[in-house]
Amino acid sequence: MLTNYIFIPIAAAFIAYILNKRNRKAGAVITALVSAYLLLSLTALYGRWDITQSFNLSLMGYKIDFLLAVNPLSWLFAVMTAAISILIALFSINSQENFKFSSVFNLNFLIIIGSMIGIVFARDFLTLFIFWELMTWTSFYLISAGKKKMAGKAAYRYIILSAGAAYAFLMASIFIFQQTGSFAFDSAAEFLVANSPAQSIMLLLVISLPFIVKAGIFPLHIWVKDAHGNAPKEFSPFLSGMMLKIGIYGMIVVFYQLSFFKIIENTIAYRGLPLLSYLFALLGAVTIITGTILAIRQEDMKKLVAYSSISQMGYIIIGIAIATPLGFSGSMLHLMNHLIFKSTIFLALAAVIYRTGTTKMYEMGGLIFRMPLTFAAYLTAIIALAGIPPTNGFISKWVIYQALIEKGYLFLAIAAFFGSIASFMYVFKPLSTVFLGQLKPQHQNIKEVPLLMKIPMLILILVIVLFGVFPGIQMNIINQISGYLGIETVNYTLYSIQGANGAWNSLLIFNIFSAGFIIALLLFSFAKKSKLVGLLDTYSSGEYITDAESYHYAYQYYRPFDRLFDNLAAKSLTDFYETLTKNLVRSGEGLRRALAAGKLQNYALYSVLLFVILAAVGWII
Amino acid sequence: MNNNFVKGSWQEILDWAQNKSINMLHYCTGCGAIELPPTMTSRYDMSRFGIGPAATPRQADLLLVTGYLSTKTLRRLIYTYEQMQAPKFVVGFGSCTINGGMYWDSYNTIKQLDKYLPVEMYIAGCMPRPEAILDGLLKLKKMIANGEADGYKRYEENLDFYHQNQEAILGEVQRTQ
Amino acid sequence: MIDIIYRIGHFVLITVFSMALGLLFMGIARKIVARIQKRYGPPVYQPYLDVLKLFGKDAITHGFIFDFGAIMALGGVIATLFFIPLGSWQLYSMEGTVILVIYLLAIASLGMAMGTVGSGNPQASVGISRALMQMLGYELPYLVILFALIYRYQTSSVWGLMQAQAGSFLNWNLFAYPLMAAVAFVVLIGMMGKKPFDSMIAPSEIGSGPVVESGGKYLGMLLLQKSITIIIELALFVNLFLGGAENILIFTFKMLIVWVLATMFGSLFPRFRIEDGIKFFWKWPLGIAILQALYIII
Repeated sequence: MLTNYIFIPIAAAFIAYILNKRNRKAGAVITALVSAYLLLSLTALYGRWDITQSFNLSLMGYKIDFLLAVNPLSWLFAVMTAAISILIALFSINSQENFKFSSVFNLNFLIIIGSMIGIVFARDFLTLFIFWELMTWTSFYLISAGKKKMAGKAAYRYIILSAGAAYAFLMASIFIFQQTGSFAFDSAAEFLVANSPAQSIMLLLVISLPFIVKAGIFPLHIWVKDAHGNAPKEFSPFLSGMMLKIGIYGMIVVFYQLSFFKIIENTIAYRGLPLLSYLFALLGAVTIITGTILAIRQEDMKKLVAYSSISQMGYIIIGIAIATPLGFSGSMLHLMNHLIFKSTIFLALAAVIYRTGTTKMYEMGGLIFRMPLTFAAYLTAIIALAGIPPTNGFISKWVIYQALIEKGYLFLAIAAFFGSIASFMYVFKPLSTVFLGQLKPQHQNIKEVPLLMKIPMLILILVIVLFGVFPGIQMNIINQISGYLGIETVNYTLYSIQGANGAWNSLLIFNIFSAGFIIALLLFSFAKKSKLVGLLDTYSSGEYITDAESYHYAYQYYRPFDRLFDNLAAKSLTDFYETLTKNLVRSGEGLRRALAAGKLQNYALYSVLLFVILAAVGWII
Repeated sequence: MNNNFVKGSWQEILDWAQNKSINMLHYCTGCGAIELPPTMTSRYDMSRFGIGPAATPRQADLLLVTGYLSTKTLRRLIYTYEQMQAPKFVVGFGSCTINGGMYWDSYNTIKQLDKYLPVEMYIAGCMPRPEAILDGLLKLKKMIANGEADGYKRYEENLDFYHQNQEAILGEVQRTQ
Repeated sequence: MIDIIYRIGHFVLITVFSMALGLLFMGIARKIVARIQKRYGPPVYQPYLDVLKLFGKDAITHGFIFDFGAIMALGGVIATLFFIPLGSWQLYSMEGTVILVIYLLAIASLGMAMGTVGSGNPQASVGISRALMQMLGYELPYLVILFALIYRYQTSSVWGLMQAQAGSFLNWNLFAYPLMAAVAFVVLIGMMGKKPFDSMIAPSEIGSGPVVESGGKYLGMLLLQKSITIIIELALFVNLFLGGAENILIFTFKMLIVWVLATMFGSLFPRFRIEDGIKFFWKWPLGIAILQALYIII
């Protein structure tokens, strides 16, 4: 019964809300239990790709089917959702002790989990739309529950963009319904292939709008920074980890299941790739560059990581859009890996925020001496994000590079390299300003986070290294997805992947790295033992330093680099949209004054009432 | 017996290596420092003897107290000396470190460096020319190779003596934390 | 069992050889710079004595991360060494080693960065932030060159790229793609932190940058790391552009020539500010590299 997976979380949401009003921790416990149940039952579902379920609805002469089905792609997304929800729920049991809105948080969080599973199990447009809107509205409430003042405005921007794109999606799907008589994906695909290419392409572009907004692809990425920066700290891992990915899921559906690639096969091509696909890949490349450059400038750590998420989405879109087996596998690998290491980063940062109460990096420092496990989690995650062996981030980046080099797309490759090298810079910034450096006096007494918050971080560290050494585990499911979507599969073994010009062996890399490490360790231990001194006993040209505050380099860490892009970054895309909206409103004002002298809402109300009365009487419809 | 022999020879090797490679802290305390640039640059080239500059006390072996030392500088110098790591050597440079030199009757300078820091050798002159500096440093290298340059050990052993003298002239002295 | 011992012996031999050769090269560089500046300079074996002295000195540490950073730096760089063919010594030949080498070097710099910033001294942070910005500057043209070479020869292992230049010496990439070789040479100077790209270890500005609190064995390990990094970068350049060599002696000779040229080049210029350095790398080297890459691809 596929509806179990969707409606149990939604029902549990209300139970969690009520229980949480009594005891602050109850809601998170229920979330954890429900996610654990989902994860276990989903693993039982593995391999049964033939389960479907459908509901019929007859309304006013229209017959609508709601279809649900399982396939490898949906299964993977559902499992990822459940897995990350358990970890976040475990984490939030302790971290939401003093959070005013914890009941609302758990209510909305469980509904989001249910609706995400609904989205990936949906096989027709209307089901997808219903759950999409449910997810959008509940995440709107969730983002606005953050502690900062800007939370409301950030959520508002998010909902306007998402809802607008979703309504466009609805209109396109209703158009398809009118032409084919059903909302299902399969019939839509047949219709689109048979239709004139220009019209199909227009329809598909409109359909992909909400997915582009959700995935944060340039130029619709403006909501990401504020939403991440102002959302409650436990929700940011989910936002970055899963909600951006749902947009990617939608893009995969559009590209493969709605036959976008088939339709544009005979249009003009650039080096063997249809120009429209290359356009998407270029958008991905621009996203990488924009996200990276803006990430380097941020002083708030959550906004920095938010921009980094956008640039990683750019990588994934490039891999999907270039339509090669290696590219697709690389994107799917990166999708899974990004979930893992981005969640680790966000959980580590949430732990720091929990203990220090601030998100500005220059107000912290030296936290490694008080929170070493958090530091270890953050370090492992940034090694994965920067794409350094032997972690999983390197493998997915390597496969994407192989895909790009194989086909010779120079500019995409330059953007990918730029994103990768510059990511060293922006991941090093929180490491150096938050964890290393001088310990501020007001943080002398903070302790490491409680056990329940340590467990998710530990699990994620192990998973990062495990997947880094044994990528075959991931390639198993990815090859099944490739087979299901009709893409060629990539050869692999437990610890090696076959690339374009040869195979990659991760166990070997891990062994050699350990060997080098051991040699260095031996050299180190045979030398004289060194003396431990305090942080304030450091070279300062002979002066005694007493206050740590002025001896910590954190503010504007990369000022020379930022100076290069000051002019470019001043032309903010958000301001462009705001000015556009203002001008639109102003031009509409004139029209409004001419046509409707009073409040426009009253006129709308009267029109709707009239319509309803006439419909009831039977003069219309 | 064997252990001492091994330790002794290892120490000899280290002393030999130390004398061949000295890092001099670039701390110019007084007017005598003006003779250092000619010594370091092309004409009198100090680097052919293995003596090179170091930027911070953590990396340095040799502290060259060049010229007069006001009490204000003495405080920082003591902190810098304590930040250096063993083995470390202090060389007094110019007459001011020996007996006060030109400023023998000033209220503000110290008259004898040996009371505050353990000095290996003095290089007399006001100021000593680069050739004199090189002569002195070569003698210092011989002392290091023979194991006679143990100023840092003397400092550790007679810590009270040095601390007393320092506090007598400076008042309260903050130690490393 | 014998196989494992043989392998371990091989590891240690290559490591010691590279350290010795790297330190010798550093000594040769100091001698050359001294001669250019019309003075005698220290003897060529001076760096050996420096390292020996440093391991005999005491040192202070600022905590676990300070130690861990130094070990990770040296360990990462030793691990990278095993993937580069030196002459005909090749421990592991696998595909993808070119990109792998770049990233393993990144582990080493991350380790050093982490360790030195962990000392709590802001001058170390400033030095590292400059080093990272400059890395962004020079890596971009270098990766474009690698992209073009991998696409041209359809192999992404250093061994493969070296073999592809076999035959007469006119096959070398130096003569086939001279512009790319020139760009790679400029990038090499940036990688090694020679003037005009040595703003990150500026002694007067930021108290020698990252190594401000490192003394004794930490400085010794960082010197050893530097020496192996020199060998890795030179070996990469020789393998990619000068066709490698069949035996280790000719290989060393080629590395020596490149090193001498780079040193002479690097002793002439004043220092670039970081943003000027980045702008420089993204103007001519990147432009020329892109042109050359387009020429190869199209």
